[in-house]
Parts: sequence; C-alpha cells; structure tokens
Amino acid sequence: MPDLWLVALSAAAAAAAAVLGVIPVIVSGEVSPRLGWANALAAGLMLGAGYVLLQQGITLSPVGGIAGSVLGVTFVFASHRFTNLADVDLSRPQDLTSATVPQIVTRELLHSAAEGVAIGAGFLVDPRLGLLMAGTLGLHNVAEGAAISAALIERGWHPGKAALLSAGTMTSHVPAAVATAAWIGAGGRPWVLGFSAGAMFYLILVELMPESYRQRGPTGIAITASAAMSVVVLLHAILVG
Amino acid sequence: MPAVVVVLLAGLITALATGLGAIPFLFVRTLSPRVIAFSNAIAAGLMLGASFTLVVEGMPFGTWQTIIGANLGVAFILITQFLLPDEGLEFGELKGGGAQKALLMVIVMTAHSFAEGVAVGVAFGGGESLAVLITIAIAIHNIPEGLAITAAMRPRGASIASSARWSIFSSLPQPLMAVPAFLFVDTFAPVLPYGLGFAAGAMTYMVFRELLPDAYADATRPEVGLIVSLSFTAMVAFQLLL
Ligand SMILES: [Zn+2]
Ligand SMILES: [Zn+2]
Repeated sequence: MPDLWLVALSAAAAAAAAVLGVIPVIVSGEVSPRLGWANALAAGLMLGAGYVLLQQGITLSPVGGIAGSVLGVTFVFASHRFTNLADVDLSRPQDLTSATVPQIVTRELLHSAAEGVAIGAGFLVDPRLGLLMAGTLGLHNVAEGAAISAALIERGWHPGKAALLSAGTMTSHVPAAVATAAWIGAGGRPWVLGFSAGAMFYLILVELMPESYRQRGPTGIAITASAAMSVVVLLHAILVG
Repeated sequence: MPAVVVVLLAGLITALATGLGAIPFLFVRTLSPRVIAFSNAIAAGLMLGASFTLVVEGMPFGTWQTIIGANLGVAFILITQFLLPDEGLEFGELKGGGAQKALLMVIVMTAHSFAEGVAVGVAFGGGESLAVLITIAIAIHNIPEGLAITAAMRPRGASIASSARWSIFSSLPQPLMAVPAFLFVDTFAPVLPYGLGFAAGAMTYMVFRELLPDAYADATRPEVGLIVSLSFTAMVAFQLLL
C-alpha cells in the first residue's frame, strides 16, 4: 500500500492550489487571460498522464481498463447532468451566474472526487506518478479556482470567502485519493486506472479545451500538444523503462 | 521470394487496408451539420489515440530523441499553417479553407506513415519470424486510421471514393520506406525516434487545432466530450491489444 500520509498531503496540496487562482482575481477583479497558460499546460499533462493510466489499466486487464474508462466518462457526464449544469461552462462567469451556489458546490465536489481517484490511482502505480498527478491537478485547480471565485465575487461574495469556498470544493480530492490508495486491491486496480483516465479525458474535453481555445488560441494548443506528448514519453521511461 | 519483395508486398497490403476505413461512410447518407460535428469528434478521438501509440513506439529507439521529434512536429505544423494560404488554395475537389485543412490532414498522416514504414522495415530487419504478424498488425492498425482520415475529409466536402484514395495514398510511404529501412537497418534506426515523435506531435496538434474546434461548432460540449473520450479509449485499447 502507498504511504497514505503522502497521498493525503499531496491531494490536500493540490486542492489548496485553487487559492492561488483567486489572488489574481482579487487584484484585477476578473479572470486573467494569463491563466489560459496554466489551463493549456494542465490539459496536456492530464491528457498524457491519463493515457499512461489507461495504458497501465488495459495492460493489467483489458476488460477492467476499458470498462473503467467508460465508467469514468459516464461518472463525470452524469454528475454534470445531475446538477443540471451539463451545458454550463465554468470558465464563463456569465454562464455561471445562472447556476445556484449549491449546484456549483455539488458539481465541483463530485468532479474533484473523480480527480482525487486519479491521484490515488497514480500512487497505486508508483509514488512518482502519484506526485505528478497531484501537481498536474493542482495546476488545473489554479485555473478552476479562479473561474469559480470570479463568479462568486461577481454576485457579491467577499473575495476571502470566495477563495475558501472554491478551494473547499476541491477538498474532496483528499478522501477520494486516500480511499483509492488504501482500499483498491490488485483486482480493482485496472478499473480505477481506467476510471481516472476516462474521467480526466471527459473533463479535458468539456472544460479545459474550450476554455483554452478562448483564452490562448493556437499557441495554447501547441503547449497542450507538446506537454501531452512529452509527459507520455517521460512517464513511460520512468515506469516501463 | 526474396525478402525485399516480401517486405514491399507487406507494406502494400498495409497501405490498401487504410482504404477500408472509408467503408462505414457508405452508410452515412446525409451530412447534416451535426453529423459533420460527430464525424470530426470521432476523427479527433481516433487520431489522438493513434498519436499516443506512435510516440510510445518511438521510445525503445531513444527517449530524448522521441521528445525532441514530438516538439519539432508541433512546431512544424504551427509554422506551416501560418505559411499555407487558406484562400485560393485547391486540393482535389476542395477549395479554400476546407482545402487547407484537408491538405494539412493528408500531409500529417503521410508523415506519420513515413515514420511507420521505417518502423516496419526496421522490425523486419530484426528477424523474419515476426514478419507476418507485424504485417497483419499494421494493416489492422491502419483501418481505423483510414476511418479517421475519411471522417476528417468527408465534412470538408470530399467524396467517399476520394477519401478512400487519399487514405491509401497517405499510407503509401509504408511500403516505400519499409524496403530501404529493412535493407539499411543500421542507418535508419537512429532517425526512427525523431520521425515517430515528429509525426505524433504533428497529429496531436492537428487534432486540437482543426478537428476539435469543428466538432464544438455544431455539437454540444457534453456530446463532444462523450464521443472523443470513448473513441480515444477504443483506439488506445485497439492498438494496445493488437
Ligand atoms: Zn477539476
Ligand atoms: Zn499509424
């Protein structure tokens, strides 16, 4: 079993990174387009790492890896549906103003739980992969924290409170990551690897890429593509040799 | 039969298999904006999966070389797209912006099979016992890639027949490169990771630059998310388990 304290600590650090995204919002009063760089990079890293997780899952068990991925895709799709926010784009404050705070919180808690599973699954394979997952999702949380807190500040929230709530919704990383690392045995491993990959692919496509297109255009795309390819090769070199 | 002829024939078979990817489109009669968006989403997922396979194939020949190749591939398409005019360009029956995108797609997929052709040749050079297996594997691997090309070209106005022709064309470098690579393994093996990485980087960039935005244009984000994630998973599983 992986070191559960390390799992909990890195998942918590990833959640806390959301606060970093709030600072520029407080300073400038809006979501800085510069956060598009973090977003584009996070999309590439999540995609590449997700591919490696899927590959590891399918290699352990084709059925588990593939079905796990389908489940991961379905989970995030269903959780967006469940909160009636399927077509709400988090990165557009005008979209978010139509959503209620409980809706946003529920959706973010579920979404972050799926990402927590990915952190735990990374640790199941190799501590270095776990740390990379936490760092990658932390980077993604910076951009996401900015989007959520901007929407809250817009509707009159105090910036400090907005920062706490947006980071708070990501704390579901911690129980999800720890539970995955602690309870998933050899038989469940391909399933959680596939699940993490599928959930991240879906999130990249419905949230990160559309946001990156708006904020950074072709150069953002180049960053995403470079990061995705480079991280796959590096992870492969570390894990498979 | 001399070994060289076997390698050439093997490469030809794999190239022709790419054309089979156009077949599913015989059953799709009307090209409404939503069908076009779905088609782009399928192409995006399949091509993304194929580029990850490609970059992993490069690894045994050199880690850093593969990474350098991938980043050169991204830079290459970024620059080419700035230089290629998108007006007044004609490609087959296509004109203008659609022609630019379709032409880039064929260039990228041709570069990809260039690299894969070298990989086939180098693999054959390693011993003939695996030859038949490798040929079958590459041929089957090419079918969904032909599907990806057709799914990308159809929405831009190309006919099914010409999509199939361009699919096969894009794979012709496989036999053409396999033979010299087989004969001169020692010369080709060192450049292989650069080539495979280059093709992978170029393909990934094309997916994000062209296919995905066109998918978002006429389908909802959840629809695009579902189709791309699932076709990506299918392609990864397919190429991994082969
Ligand atoms: Zn997230
Ligand atoms: Zn291929």
